[in-house]
Amino acid sequence: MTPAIAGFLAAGFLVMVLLGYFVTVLVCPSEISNKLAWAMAPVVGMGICSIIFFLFRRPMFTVEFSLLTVLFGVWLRYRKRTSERLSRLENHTPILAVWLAAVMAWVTLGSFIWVGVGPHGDWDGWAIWNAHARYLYRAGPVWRDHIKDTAHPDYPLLLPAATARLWRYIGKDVPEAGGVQTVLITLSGVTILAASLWELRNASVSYLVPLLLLGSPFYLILGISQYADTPLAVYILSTIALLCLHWKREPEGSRIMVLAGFTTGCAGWTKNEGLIFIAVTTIAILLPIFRRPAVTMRRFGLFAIGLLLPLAVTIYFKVAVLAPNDLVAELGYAATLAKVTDLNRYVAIATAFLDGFWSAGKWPIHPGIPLIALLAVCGIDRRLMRNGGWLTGVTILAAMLLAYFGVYLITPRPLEYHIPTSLNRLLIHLWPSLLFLVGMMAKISTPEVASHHEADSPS
Amino acid sequence: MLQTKLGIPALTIYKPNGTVVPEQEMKRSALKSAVQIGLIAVACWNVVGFTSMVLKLPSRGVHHIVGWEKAWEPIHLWLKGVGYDVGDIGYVTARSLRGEPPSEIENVNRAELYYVVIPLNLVQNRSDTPYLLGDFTAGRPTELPPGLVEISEPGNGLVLLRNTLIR
Repeated sequence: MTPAIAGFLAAGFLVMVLLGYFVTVLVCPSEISNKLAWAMAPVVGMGICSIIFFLFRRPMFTVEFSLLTVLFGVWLRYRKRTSERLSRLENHTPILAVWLAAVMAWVTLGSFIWVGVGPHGDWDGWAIWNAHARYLYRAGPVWRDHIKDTAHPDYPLLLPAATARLWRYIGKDVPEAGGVQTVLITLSGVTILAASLWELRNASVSYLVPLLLLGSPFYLILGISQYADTPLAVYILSTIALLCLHWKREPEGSRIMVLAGFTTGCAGWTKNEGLIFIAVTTIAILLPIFRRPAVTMRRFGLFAIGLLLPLAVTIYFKVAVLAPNDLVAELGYAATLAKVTDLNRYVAIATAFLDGFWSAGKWPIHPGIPLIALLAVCGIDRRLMRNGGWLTGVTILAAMLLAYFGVYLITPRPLEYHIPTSLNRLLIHLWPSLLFLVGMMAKISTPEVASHHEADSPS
Repeated sequence: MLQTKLGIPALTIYKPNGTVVPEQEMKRSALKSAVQIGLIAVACWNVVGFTSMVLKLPSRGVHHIVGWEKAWEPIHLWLKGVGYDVGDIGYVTARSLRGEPPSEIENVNRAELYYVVIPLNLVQNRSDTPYLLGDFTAGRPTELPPGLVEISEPGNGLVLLRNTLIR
């Protein structure tokens, strides 16, 4: 990669991150900390830029720069106040934070070396996601006809469109761009986990738990391999963290729900499993409707506002390309019924899940052991059992697991092929969110952190 | 207490406000610290696992796609020169020309080449495309079937063939 290419690539990332930051702080003024806003910026920005590329294509730069200018103008009004608040944050940097940063830098270096060796990514990375990106970039206006020739043409285009957008910045389809992008998003998952736990719990757990995510080799490898599974995992984490934050900040009608809706929609725009996530999250948010109908509907209304654009784009893509989903297309009523009533399938899938819980991350040592020890020693915060955000998060994860179980139950593919080629990836979708929810449970109190939270508000 | 028997005063720790930290609390605090150190150690050990994977990576040139990209480049330039940018391109091997089923390695090669030639659409078992990509990396055919003419052979195993039966 020449310095010129690196420069254009950096410009593409800068615009993406700034767009994400401005949207985050403007949608949720005074409700989200500056740290979390910056942590969320790459994933929110990638969603926005991907949609802009998909909808506008040629005038992409005009739309991006116009939007950036407008958002910057609006944000300028808040800048002074933000700076003043930030200047009060002259707190010490804990040694754990330094350690986390050092490990993150090490992992980043290793990831970039890996991307350099295999710039096109692993099998699904090039055969699906980068193949789609190449059609978007190379086939011009006829991409819609030719993308049907690829493997899984029905897969949503968040990642391919974001990669093709970077190639537009560079001026040619440099394969490393996609790898650098997915590494950035993978590491964003770590920073979102740290920032959201820092905001919701306290300092020490917010540095410890992200270390476990960094120490999950398969999570990192999926990102380096340019699979869409890691971005999906990060969107799921972002949504659950935002839901918890919403319940903490303003239980009745906080605008954080708009951002949560957007990240949920982006999950659907990333992978078909994200569409399951949209359905599950919507149901989880609507669950309290019988107890508190007005509040729940207001909450859902805000969520739906954020969800609308990415979901509409996903539906438009599905209708425009009209490619059948291989799993759904091959479903037959009689065969499905036979599978649903076959007890052996339940046992086989449950066994595979149990095995997957142990091995999904390709951990040399399973992080569940120290996590359980942490909860045992520090205790569980029982107040969480009554916290709407945490309960919604747990409900979503449980429902996602059940949905994945259901997909395996009725899959037209042989289980002995389908499970080994996909289960670990599906479990990694939920792994960062599980870490977040467990981190929320740990009862470690450092009261001094609370005062810092109040000071670190962006606008 | 052993300390009392030996005449050693017990270690006393004070909080910042001057009050004494109870022994029970000290033990609990030490246990918490130990667990946290253990958690860091596990995370770091797993990062070491990731690092060892990075250290075992082959060099960039070994990556199949990178190799195919280089091999495809001269043929791509030739096709670009004649204005054949988008459309179908056939895929043949020495085995397929003999009418034999593809080998496992040929299936992998075809999938990789499919990605490399985008936006051209690499199709197998079709004879109605104006150009065909010959993957002769596993061996050249003794002779080409009638109608197929070799038009570009960069010497890396890939050969561009023209189907003279298609106008």
